[in-house]
Amino acid sequence: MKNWISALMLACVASVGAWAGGGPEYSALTIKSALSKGADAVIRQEEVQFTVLSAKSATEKVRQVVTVLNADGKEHATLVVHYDKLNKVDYIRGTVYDMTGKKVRSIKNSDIRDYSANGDGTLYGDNRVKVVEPTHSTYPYTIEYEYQTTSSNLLFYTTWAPISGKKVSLEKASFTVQMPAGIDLRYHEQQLPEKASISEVNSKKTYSWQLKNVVPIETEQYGPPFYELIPMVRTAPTTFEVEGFAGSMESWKALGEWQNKLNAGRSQLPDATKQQVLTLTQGLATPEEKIKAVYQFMQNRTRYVSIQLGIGGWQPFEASMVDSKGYGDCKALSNYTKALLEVAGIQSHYAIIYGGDDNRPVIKDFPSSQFNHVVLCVPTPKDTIWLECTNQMADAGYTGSFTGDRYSLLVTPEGGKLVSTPKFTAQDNTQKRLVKVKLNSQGGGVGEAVTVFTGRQHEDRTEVLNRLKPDEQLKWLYKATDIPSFEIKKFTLEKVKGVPQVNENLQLELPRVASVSGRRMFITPNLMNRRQSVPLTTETRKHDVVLTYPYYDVDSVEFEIPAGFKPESVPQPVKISSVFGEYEAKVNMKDGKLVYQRQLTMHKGRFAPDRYAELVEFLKKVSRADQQQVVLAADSI
Amino acid sequence: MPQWDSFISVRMKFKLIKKSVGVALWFLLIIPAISVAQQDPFQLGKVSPEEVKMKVYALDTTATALVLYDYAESSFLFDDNTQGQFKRIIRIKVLKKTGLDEANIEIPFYKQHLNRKEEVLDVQGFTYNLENDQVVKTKLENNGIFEDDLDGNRMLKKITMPNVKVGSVVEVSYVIISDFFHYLREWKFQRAIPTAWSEYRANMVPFFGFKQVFSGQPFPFHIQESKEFVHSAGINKSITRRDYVDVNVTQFRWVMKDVPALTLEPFMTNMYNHVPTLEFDLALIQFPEQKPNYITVSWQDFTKERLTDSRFGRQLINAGYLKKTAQEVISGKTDTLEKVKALWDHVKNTMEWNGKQTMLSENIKKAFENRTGSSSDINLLLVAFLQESGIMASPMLVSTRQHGLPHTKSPMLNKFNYVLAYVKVGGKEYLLDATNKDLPFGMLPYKCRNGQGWVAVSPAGKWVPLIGTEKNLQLVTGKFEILPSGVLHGAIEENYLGMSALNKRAVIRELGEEKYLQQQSLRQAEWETTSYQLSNVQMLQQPLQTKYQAKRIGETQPASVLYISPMFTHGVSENPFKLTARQHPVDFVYPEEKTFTFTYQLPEGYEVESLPQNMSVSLPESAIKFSYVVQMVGKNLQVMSRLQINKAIFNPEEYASLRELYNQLVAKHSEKIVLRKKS
Repeated sequence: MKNWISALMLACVASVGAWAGGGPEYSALTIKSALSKGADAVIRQEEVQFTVLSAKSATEKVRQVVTVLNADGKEHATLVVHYDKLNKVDYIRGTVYDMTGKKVRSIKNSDIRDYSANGDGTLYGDNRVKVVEPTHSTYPYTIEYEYQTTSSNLLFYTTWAPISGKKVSLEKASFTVQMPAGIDLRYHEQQLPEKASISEVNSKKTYSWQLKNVVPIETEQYGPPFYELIPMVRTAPTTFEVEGFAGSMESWKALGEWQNKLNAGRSQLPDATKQQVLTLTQGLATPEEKIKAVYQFMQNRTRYVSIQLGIGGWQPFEASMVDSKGYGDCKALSNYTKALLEVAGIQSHYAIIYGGDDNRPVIKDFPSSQFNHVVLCVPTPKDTIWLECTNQMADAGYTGSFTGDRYSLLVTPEGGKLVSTPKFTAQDNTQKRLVKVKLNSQGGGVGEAVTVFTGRQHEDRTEVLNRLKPDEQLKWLYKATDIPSFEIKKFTLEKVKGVPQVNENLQLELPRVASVSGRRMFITPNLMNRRQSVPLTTETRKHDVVLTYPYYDVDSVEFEIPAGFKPESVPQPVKISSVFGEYEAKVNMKDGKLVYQRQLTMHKGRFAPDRYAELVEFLKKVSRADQQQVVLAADSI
Repeated sequence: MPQWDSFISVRMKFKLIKKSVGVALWFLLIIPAISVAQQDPFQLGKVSPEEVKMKVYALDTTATALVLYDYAESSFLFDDNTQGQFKRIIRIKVLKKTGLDEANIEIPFYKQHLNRKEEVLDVQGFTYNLENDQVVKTKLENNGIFEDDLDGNRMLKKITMPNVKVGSVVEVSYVIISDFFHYLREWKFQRAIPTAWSEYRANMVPFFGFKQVFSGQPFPFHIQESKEFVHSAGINKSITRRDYVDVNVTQFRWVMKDVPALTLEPFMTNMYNHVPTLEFDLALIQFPEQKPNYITVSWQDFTKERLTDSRFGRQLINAGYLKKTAQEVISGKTDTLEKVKALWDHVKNTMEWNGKQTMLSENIKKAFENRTGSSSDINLLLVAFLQESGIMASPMLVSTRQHGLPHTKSPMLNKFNYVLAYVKVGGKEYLLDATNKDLPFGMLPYKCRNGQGWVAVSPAGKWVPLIGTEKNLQLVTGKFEILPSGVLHGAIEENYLGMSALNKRAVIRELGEEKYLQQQSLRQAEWETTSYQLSNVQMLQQPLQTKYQAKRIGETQPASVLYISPMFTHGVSENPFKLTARQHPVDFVYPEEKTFTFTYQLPEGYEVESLPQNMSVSLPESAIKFSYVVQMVGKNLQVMSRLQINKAIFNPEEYASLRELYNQLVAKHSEKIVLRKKS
């Protein structure tokens, strides 16, 4: 009898166990404290099933169960499903559960909102979203969603990244991809504890991944971006077809060949335009001159308009259309410029790239659609010139923070080729400044600051020059100038033609450049380039230290001192050097003038986590040196 | 967005038969689609060569583009439905490359469902360029016109003009036919680019009485006139019957000329408050031989309407379902204010705000049952709770800062967008919001500090200034010991009360205490801070307090002269008012007092060589006052800095003195104490 009871109980426990292991858990009470610590929401279960039916179509079936722990986690209860002409939403279902896992209500069709997802900058696109924003007043609560989408744009396969944000932990998640018979999946894994498990039935392969018990992932100052830290599986097709255009992604070459098909026959230009190009370029001696002339010709007769049409948004408008309308998006304008250059006898390549200063690295050994922008690459015997065709004011050849220092997929007649755009060192991104200050005995003064900005450091001011009117430029300079109290009496900003350089001249009134106390005057000789804040010190640095932006600053400040004052205290020269950069500052008296000189070089690089403390120390020393003061004292009274 | 609310079902029901014409008319006759063309200087396609040749705009040579003219005319159409018609022509000159984007034009419109919608019709456009001294015209084709459905209700027609270059003139005209005839489109006379001519005409008919409400900068009208004429309108009774009626039309015309570009400045409430805008509010619907239907005329009527509105005042009636809870909450309390506090606290703590800012509510009972709702659900619920407990409370309509200032001269519902609960206890007014858990009792949320709020109380309501009455204090004290090497050790206590505390509590809620304190640790290289302690995070009526230890890094060797910056890390190092001139008022939003007191124990064997001098400056009527005092207190040196901002808004005329006061404050805060080793 006793045995019988225990056997029954064992059976019960076993069945509960089996249920807990298989189906989703809705009760918030069973979340382990290790997972709820520091989390606003917990992904209880996420199952994504991606089924490739053919080169033309696939379905994605998703089930996710999320427990929202507090009000800050509300956004993780929101479901956003993107769709467009080639991606349909088959169904969306949802259920809200209370803290104990008891069903509260189902999501109704009227709860599903439908919005345009084109964004402000886009004139036309067909991106839309279906959004469910459930509200529930008591935390924690749990929400379950099931939905399915069908895609006929297999240029993109699914990317699986179940950790949807910071302060989110995960109990379990799985990703399954089922391929058609005889076709392999191409994939790229990141931050995964276990590699894919692959099974095969009737020559159909199934790939699957599992993830369990992931605590919240945090980013750190000077650390890698969030998307590099989360577990992720990117998948891509071998062969695919979009709106009748078939292609392969087995290699970059093949992907380029597909783009060639899309671009084919789209470079026709009217004779009148051809004639204009010929007249314009005939007399020019070098290819460089011709390229510049054609580029400016294009800039003067077009404007950038974002219209996402054609083959999933990947086919450019015809060159003739751009010619007659005078507008186009990045694809259309690059294709148009390519056609114009061809008339002038210059070959160029349509270059697909990731545009943005976050410079997301291209995964080189994983040919796939990793880009969002198109530029034009013009090889010349001397150099390669990159043309940004969506900017009517850019210099030919400048890439900078938007497209510089990264890989681009060139679409050449022989297919795709992955090549690098220009790289930059600190010496390319400089700020060189000379300030002359005439100090009076009340601590006030007048000054002139002449600064030359190059490379990335010239970009802001070029934008200011291009976009703002003079009175707004002055307002911007007031904001950008870091002096405790000043007036800009006069300014000039000048973009140097054809080079990435801006010259700035500020005529300054400095009513309180020195602080007067009794017979003493205190001056911080680093007038305009002080590092004010330093990164937080942490005891536990987890991730690499990443410096993305190399630069070089030189400051010279000369103070003409009022009669009767002599230096009482002058800071010692400072020289700091580290793997991250070098710093040097010194103050001297020279011909009766107080002369301050400072140089700071910051490098680009990636360093092990344990070097973080060194970086903080380096920046602290720099900051401290930047605040040092000179004390001038009047001859005794 | 327009408020369709109560008028939706109003449809024209013509009973009048004046001239019957028994002819089949297949076209729909339009009322005042009056031929104003001959007196209208602006016609589509009639661009002058001077406009195309123009290189700069003389009145603003820096303009990137210029609205040569912007013209619109509103009318009413009558067929078997009443509709509004809005005709627009806009002509823009592109002067610089950055002005090219002006050639992309967006037309917002609205649809409720298939039978209640707006349609954008007859979109036409031309681009004019000068080629070889000839004006060449390019037509806008259909492939340059797009439509975007933003959310099922709000629609956008987007137009991109062809062949636009620097120097081009672009011109677009369109007509909007609207089923929402009671919503007469507003008109803004100013934009981010200058406008040479902006004209609006409204052809009013006697059936609808619209109030005209003008807001923004009082920029003068170049023309403001009206004229009357009689128009014969045809009304289809059936396919074979058509009635005619004579209608007196009053055409109003408003023109502004040479309106400069809109400018932005820091510390501004809301730039759109300044845009000269003409709006219309439907006050009366009266069809012939029918009783007039007053929509909003007087404050009495407006009040009555609000209090009987099913989505506002009606929500407060029959709130018996709250009785039991209300009694539990106030049980044992005799003092009215205590009861108010308890009820407010209860609503605040039990109701979850869904983040939506609203002014009307469908069903506060349902919100109460679900324990979640929009801002109006929650605050109306609070009013209902108070009323149900026998306390005189009313809902108060507010326009948030983002929404612009409300019109105090004329009752217009869509000038409001938020509700607060208004209570008066013992002669004192309390404005209550129960949506923000960090808000102390009686404190006005930041977003509501915007002009005046209107209390919906019989008979005619009343305006109450939306000024916070709370004390806004920042009080920082520090006790430091100075070592002969220039190293400083100190213990600091910071107290925040009022808005600064509210802001900090919001950050603490977001980050958690641990993270918050981590972020507090100073990011200045000269100082190291430790031993943080945070108190009163939950005690909302108490000051939020932080205590910590700080150490300033100095030299390793003793120095004969020591220079001390006495303001610790609380010195204002930069004047927030950098620009020398100002066009719009400076808005601090709330008055505040910031007092910093630091005491220094001098190192043994050192004496004071020089000290900053005491200072006291203020603006007239002590609108803002700064004082700085250095004194010996016993053996210690004490430095006290106090800034009292006693009013929220400073006019442009006060700007120069405000800026100078801050200049002096910044200078004073950078001054040093000099200590010398006794010889």
